[in-house]
Amino acid sequence: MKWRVIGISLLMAWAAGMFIMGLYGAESMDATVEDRLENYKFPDAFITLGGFENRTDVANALDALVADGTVDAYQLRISLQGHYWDDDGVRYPAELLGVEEAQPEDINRLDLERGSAFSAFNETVVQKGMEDQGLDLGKKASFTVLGQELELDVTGIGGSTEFLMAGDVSFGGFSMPGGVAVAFLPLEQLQALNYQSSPIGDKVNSIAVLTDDVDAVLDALDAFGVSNVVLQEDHPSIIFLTANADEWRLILPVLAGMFLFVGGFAILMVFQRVVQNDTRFIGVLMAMGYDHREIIRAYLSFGLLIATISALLSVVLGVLLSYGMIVGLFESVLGDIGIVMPVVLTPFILGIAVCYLFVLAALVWPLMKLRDLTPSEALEHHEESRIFTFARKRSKRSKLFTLGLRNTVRRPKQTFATILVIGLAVGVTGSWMVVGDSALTYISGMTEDGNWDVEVNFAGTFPDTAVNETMLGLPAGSAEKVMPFKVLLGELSHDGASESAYITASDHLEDIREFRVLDGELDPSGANLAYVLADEMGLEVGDEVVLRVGAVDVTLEVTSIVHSLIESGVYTSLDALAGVPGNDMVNGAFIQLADGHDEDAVRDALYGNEALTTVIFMTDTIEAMDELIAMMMDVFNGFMFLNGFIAFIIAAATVTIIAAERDLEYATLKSLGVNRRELAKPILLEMGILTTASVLVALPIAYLFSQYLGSLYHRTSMYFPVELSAYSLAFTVVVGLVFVMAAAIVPVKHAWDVDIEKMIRERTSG
Amino acid sequence: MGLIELKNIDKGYSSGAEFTAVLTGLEMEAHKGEMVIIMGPSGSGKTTLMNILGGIDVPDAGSVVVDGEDIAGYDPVGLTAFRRNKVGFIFQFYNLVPTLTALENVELSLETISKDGKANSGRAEKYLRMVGLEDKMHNFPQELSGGQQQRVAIARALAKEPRIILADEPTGNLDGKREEAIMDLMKELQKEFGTTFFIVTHNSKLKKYADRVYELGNGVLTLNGA
Repeated sequence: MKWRVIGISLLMAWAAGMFIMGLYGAESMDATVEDRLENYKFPDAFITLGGFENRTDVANALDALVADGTVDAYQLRISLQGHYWDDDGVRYPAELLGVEEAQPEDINRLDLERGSAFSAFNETVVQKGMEDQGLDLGKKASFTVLGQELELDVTGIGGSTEFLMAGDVSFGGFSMPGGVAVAFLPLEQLQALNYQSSPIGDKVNSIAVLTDDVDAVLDALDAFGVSNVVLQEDHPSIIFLTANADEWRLILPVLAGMFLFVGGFAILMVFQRVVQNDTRFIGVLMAMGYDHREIIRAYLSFGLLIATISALLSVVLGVLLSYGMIVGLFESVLGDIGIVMPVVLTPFILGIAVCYLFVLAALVWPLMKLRDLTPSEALEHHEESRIFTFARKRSKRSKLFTLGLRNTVRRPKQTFATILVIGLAVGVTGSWMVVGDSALTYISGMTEDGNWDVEVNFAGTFPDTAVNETMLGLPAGSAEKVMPFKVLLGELSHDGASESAYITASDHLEDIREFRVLDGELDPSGANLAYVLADEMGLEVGDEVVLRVGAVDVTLEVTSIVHSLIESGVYTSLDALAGVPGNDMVNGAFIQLADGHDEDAVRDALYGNEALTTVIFMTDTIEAMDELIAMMMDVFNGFMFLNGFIAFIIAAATVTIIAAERDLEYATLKSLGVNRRELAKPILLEMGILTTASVLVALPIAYLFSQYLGSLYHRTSMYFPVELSAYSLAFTVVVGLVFVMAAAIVPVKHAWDVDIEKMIRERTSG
Repeated sequence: MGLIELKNIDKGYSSGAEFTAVLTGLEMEAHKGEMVIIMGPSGSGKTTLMNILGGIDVPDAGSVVVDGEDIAGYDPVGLTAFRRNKVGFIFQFYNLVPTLTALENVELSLETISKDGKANSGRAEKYLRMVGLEDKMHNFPQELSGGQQQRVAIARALAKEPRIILADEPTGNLDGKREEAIMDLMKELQKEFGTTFFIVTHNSKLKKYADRVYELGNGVLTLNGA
């Protein structure tokens, strides 16, 4: 009985702990993000100008807004892409940010973790995370930017919120930390660099601003030409920090709810067995004069005890799990960002409430049956003698084998309930693997669908026809194909509804990637929409949509719906955007390199080309993607293991019921001289059958629940199709088999421990 | 020396800080082929004695020699082997496995000494015929009367042809007519196979079947009439 109480308490505590983790973990994440944004005065918008503009003029425009209270603070900067070389000559992409103050107080604070701020030319504070690549305190860092070399002394290591996710690349909107060197240095040092043969001068090209009215700021800066605006909520750092909170708040309680339901059902089976075993004793109590209410109260107390133990454990688990998961998610990826654990009671009150609710609900049915029991019925109660049996034919099989086989179905309803409960538990566990595998297969597959080896983005725009191997500075013959493209931000409208659109236009659309077409046919003359965008707007192939780019509306027909990692993606040709000014101008290119090309020469050429802002090699992307996937799989595997453990507890709790009612049988078998190994055989056979049946039940549940989880992920973070692969199927089966068969140790040990002497004594009058 | 010799047997049980001595300096002897009845009031230690004889329990002190083996110092593995090879049990409540037929219950017992399924089946049938259940072999226990179930239990105990059979209140759950039938059967089998029967009971009517009667009281065994 003691172990049963422990098992049930652990089960409910774990499920409720996950429930609390979902709610409290999300609160903690929100608090951490809020704290971070507040303390570090994270800008409301990052504005990139079309080119280098006079600093004083820009400052004057913004000062007017400061004076009228529209803007709280602003930061003028020069932002340049270049690259960093480590001591071994390995090149990394780099972002160099020239700022007026090393450590601004009123906006975009730089957290100086080690060392000191720069105070002179050729000094820099670098973003943490690249220490292993040689960007460390006291070292000399070599950069190349705009074709010029900079040797900088690293005076400090900083943690800027803006660059938490340094490494944001355009291959699919996926940000990954690390891999990009970020250096903060004096604005004047970058202003002294040559651009188009003369020093940049007292100019800036980037602004960070704290304001409640970004539109007013953009209006004020209209004269200078704004090429890009990233709002706070769209910033990669914020997306990363907040997306998980939304996921947790929604998904974890749903998952926990599933386990609470399954666990509650298992508890109901246990309580029912407990009450049934005690029926004669209840009859004795009634004969002594105790009434139903007093007896029911005793069982309710038992239930309350379990609920209380579970509730207390769940609070502890909830906090530990929350902290552990946040640490795992944030700190292992981003380093120490100062996690805030707020004092909020609601998640814990709710978690405690669900504990009591499910445990007491599980008691309702057994106690209702008890309520209707008369003293004589109770005293005359005996175990149901009807046992389902089969196969009376003479059989040469071992009788222990026969025993195991028949014991599986001796109580068909109980067997069915056991299979269902365990199957549900394993199914929920497996659904994690299905979801995880689906997400990662989709992401890596979509990434590898690109038919290019390098993606470059230009500092400005160029005519489509002018973009070629020569223009890119590539060694002759190194490019198999150059596929220029233009990326624009616009708005897609249909029937009064509109959504933001990330437009990729190219006359080489069909060559750029292997589009996974869900409906229609890829036709660059129309609008080929990302599935998520089409789904949100209720668009189908053949619908007419309006793409608004700047002040121009372009009407297109939806020609296909495709899978796309960019959920707001619209793919079309340059010709389709004929009405848009500069439609034949492009701002990037995909390059297919020729076989046998000189990789080093290509990299040198591209990194050294001052016309290029970013250079992304597919091999680097895939390498980084593999690291991300490995990291995400660790999280998924962690969840799988935790949930598998719950499945183990549920299986152990339900099979313990089965074992407990056969004590006399085990005692009899032992009295016949059946040894421990032989005694285990029928139990293991029965468990094997139950496990196999449960796993078969689990598979459709895993699929169905994973579809539901997938829809939740779609709502909170990203879309991916949920598909049952051979891998996730096999994994679910193996995990189910392992965790559920492991539960066999419970009844086997129980049988081994049955005291023959005690059992026989209980059944004799001697 | 008899088939069974118990010398200076002490056995007690602890309940918290309290220790209760059940058997004190107990001595007993039985010969091959005897039917020994052990009588005593409830709580006198009859079942304890039976469990020691059958290798289910071990005494705190003394020796238990059965067929030349002192099992008093055996570990659980040794006791299991002893029960497997030398002992047959008949319980008051039969303790048949409900999911196995009468025939299969007997075969189950034989499986502990032989894996030859065909031979076991033949032997099980033989003993079930012997106890008069040839037409009930394929019935499950819940389809049999109390007396029939006890016969199955007897066949199960006998099938291994053990040295001793221990019967703890074998007729305790039967009416008078069936009680006599069972005792007559056991007596018959005792003569036929030369198996030593130990029967624990508080029913004095069964004394007439015994070759030796012991009275157990205050932890001490006395040969009746001695």
